[in-house]
Amino acid sequence: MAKRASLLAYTVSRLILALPMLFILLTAVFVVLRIVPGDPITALYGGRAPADVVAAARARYGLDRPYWDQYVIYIRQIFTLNFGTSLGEIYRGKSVLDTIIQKLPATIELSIGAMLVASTVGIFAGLVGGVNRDKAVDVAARLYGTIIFAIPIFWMGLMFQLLFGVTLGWLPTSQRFGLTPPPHVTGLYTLDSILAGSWSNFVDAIKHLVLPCLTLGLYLSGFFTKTVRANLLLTVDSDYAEAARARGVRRRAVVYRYAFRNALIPVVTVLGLQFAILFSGAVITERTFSWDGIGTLLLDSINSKDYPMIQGTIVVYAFIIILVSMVIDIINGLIDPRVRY
Amino acid sequence: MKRNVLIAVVAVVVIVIIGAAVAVILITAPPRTLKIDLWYNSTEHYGPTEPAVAQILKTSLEATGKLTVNLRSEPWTTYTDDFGNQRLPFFLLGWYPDYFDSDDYASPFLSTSGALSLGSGYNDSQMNQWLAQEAAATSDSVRAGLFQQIQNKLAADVPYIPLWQNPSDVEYSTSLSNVYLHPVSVKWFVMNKTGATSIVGGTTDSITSMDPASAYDYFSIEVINQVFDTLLVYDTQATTLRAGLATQVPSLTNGGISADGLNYTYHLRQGVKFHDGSAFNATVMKWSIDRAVKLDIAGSAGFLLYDVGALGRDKNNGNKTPVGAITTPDDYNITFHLKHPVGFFNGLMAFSVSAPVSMTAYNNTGQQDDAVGKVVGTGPYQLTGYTTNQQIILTATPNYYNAGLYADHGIPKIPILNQVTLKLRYTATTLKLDIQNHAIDIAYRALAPADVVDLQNRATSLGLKVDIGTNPRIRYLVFNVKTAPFNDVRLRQAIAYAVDRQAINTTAFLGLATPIYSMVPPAMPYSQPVFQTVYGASPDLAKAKNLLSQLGYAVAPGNLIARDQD
Repeated sequence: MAKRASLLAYTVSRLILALPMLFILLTAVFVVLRIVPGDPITALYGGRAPADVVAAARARYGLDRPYWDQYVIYIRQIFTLNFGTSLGEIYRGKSVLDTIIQKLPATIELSIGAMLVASTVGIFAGLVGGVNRDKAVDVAARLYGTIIFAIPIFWMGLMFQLLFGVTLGWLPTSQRFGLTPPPHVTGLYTLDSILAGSWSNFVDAIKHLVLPCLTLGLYLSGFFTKTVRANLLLTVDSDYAEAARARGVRRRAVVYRYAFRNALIPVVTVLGLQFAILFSGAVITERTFSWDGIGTLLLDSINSKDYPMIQGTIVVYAFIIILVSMVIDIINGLIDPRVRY
Repeated sequence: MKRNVLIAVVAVVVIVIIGAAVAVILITAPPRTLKIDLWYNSTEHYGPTEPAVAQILKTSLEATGKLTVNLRSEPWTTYTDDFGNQRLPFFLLGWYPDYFDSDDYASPFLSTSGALSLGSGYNDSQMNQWLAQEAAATSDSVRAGLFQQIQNKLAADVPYIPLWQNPSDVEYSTSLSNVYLHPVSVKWFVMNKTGATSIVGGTTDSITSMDPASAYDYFSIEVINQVFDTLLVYDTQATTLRAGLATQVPSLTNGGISADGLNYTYHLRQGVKFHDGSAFNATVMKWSIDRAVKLDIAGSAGFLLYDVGALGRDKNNGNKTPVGAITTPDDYNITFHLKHPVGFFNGLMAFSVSAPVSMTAYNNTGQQDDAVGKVVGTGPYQLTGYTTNQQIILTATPNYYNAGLYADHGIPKIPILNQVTLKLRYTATTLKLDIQNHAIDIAYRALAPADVVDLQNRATSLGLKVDIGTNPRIRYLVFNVKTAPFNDVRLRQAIAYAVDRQAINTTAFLGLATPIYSMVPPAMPYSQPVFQTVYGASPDLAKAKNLLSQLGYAVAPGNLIARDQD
């Protein structure tokens, strides 16, 4: 009971602390965007329209105002959840919030899939390596952990596309669906196909998910492999494991029942940190697989210096990362009795 | 005494050694050269070939031995801001025409206001006068004469150096027919596929907006041209105009254009309906033009109507065209009254920004959403499916009013295919994989030159056809003629002698591009290869060196750049 109450207090204080963090981030984004040279409206016309046409358009979007005015308007808008309309080459005129909401499910679906791949492959490789310390498989697992993290995502993606898409012809090489997407409910195509009861759409969605999730997931798995292996070596050698072995518990049981489970606790913490890396990896993965998510949106917006869209996207990113790290902390508290708030 | 002699001898020897060293340095040191910066865009606004092009230009200019070129690059947003504010002295740029008239390859560059927007700062009153005359003239011979003078002066003054036109290419399955590369937009509604009623196409492009009042990028306009008709439309392959929603192309002969070139009258077809069933008439036409002018969405082509097209935009009339600028004597006649003659006004009426939109489906207070049921035109296809950045589905319009549009081209009825699905935003790599795999029927825009050549070489074994044409986009170098050292015309001329267009074509585009010698490209009327006439088809390094020597560059050390700027 006491723990639950302190958990609540902890969550609330974390949320309150998140506010100034968000505020600093918003200010940083605003300042950086204004320091970097370039202007979205001028870029939209690219020298095609007469100067007065461009000037009139800049005035309409308030870009001719002093930075301080723009900043006040910007902060006010964001705290009223009004992210404005896009000034970018591709999303010009569209509501920033609507566009982000529209793209978010694609990234969520990709992230979940990638995390599944990363944790399954990564934990398995780490476990095998840790159990067979310094044997050939361990060396292989360690090599895997290092090499997979060093391979550029776009190259790995391209190789998968060539192998599974062209040579074998098993899987589609880009986008989220074949001919028709499932009826829109959540935007998560796998879930939407289940809701619509369409088996063919579900298979289609999964098929399209495989290569991008595999690419991003394998990239992230290296980190898991190394963490699990290192922790397993510690827990296998720990006093309680030794005590268990001394009491005649079979080595296999010691490893899986005690050492492995305890080795997983730090992995949960790593999982939280991995989310930030996951999002940056998603940007490149989405580009490689023509995946229409937040990563592609951010890249497009940066390319056309779309102030409102970049600001909106980063706020959403920050919010998600803050939320995820908080949830991870809470989960950590629940599974690890040593953690106190 | 002996000591003094010794000192004198040592002093002489030292002086001789120093003197000899100086002489050796002076003789063997490479002559100092003029250092210039050449800027290019680093974010592939013009595709992945840009750094290679810049490198080739650097090599060809440095071949004069008198120039050192420092390559510099910027992302597009910074680039446009910098050249628009006259901050880039020497840079690469490209131009895609808005209307297919030679004027659109002259006025935007050589008029004072155009040159300012494009960062060259060129300002010549004689040139302005000729441009105003050619824009207003309707006589072919008068225009030809004016364009000759304009291009001659362009070659003499060299505010720009025309370099090449990009290739345009399309790759498709051999089961497809009637695939025509067209400079404005490929007509998907004339395509056919043996034994099928639908096809799937793929592109790296994306859609900005399907609202005619907003779109001003290639692929949005491409889709709009399938769903919306304009008063005038283009031939299947040529840029000849023919009647679309109008019953004829206005001319001086048929009285559609008034003798003073100020009034354009279009007779409208009767009984045409929008996809939502509402009627098309003169009121809708006027409302649609006024809507685009009034909204003037940032980055849209609205200014082509009120500024370039001389219809005007009146604050006192709700930012629409001024009262009396567009008149509709009855339901099926509409007249545009221009502020000054615009010889290419018909071309503007074939541009997507002039497409009429349904008054029941659209409002004139904001940009229309891109959604099925909201994109409503009169064209051969209707929008029946749209997933942002992923897919567009076009389905044949039942009882299309202009089915016999290309009957004289052997196409009895359009649209031919019942459905066209377009997959968007491919990466160039996956687009190539999908077309060679036949996962799609047709790939249009934009594969890398090496991939085009690869598919071309393996076309037969892959069961593909590869068509290559010339893209109307011209690529050129811009000088800011207001800033040193480029304010000296002789330096600009020297560079014009030195540039190697063939090397750009063979190295960066594997021979697929077309070198050009005037800003008005060869396919356009009145084009004259003036740069070839004046500076030769290939680099003339001797003449370039000669000009640079005249300027005092690199003749002898110490004699450098210490000269008056003229």
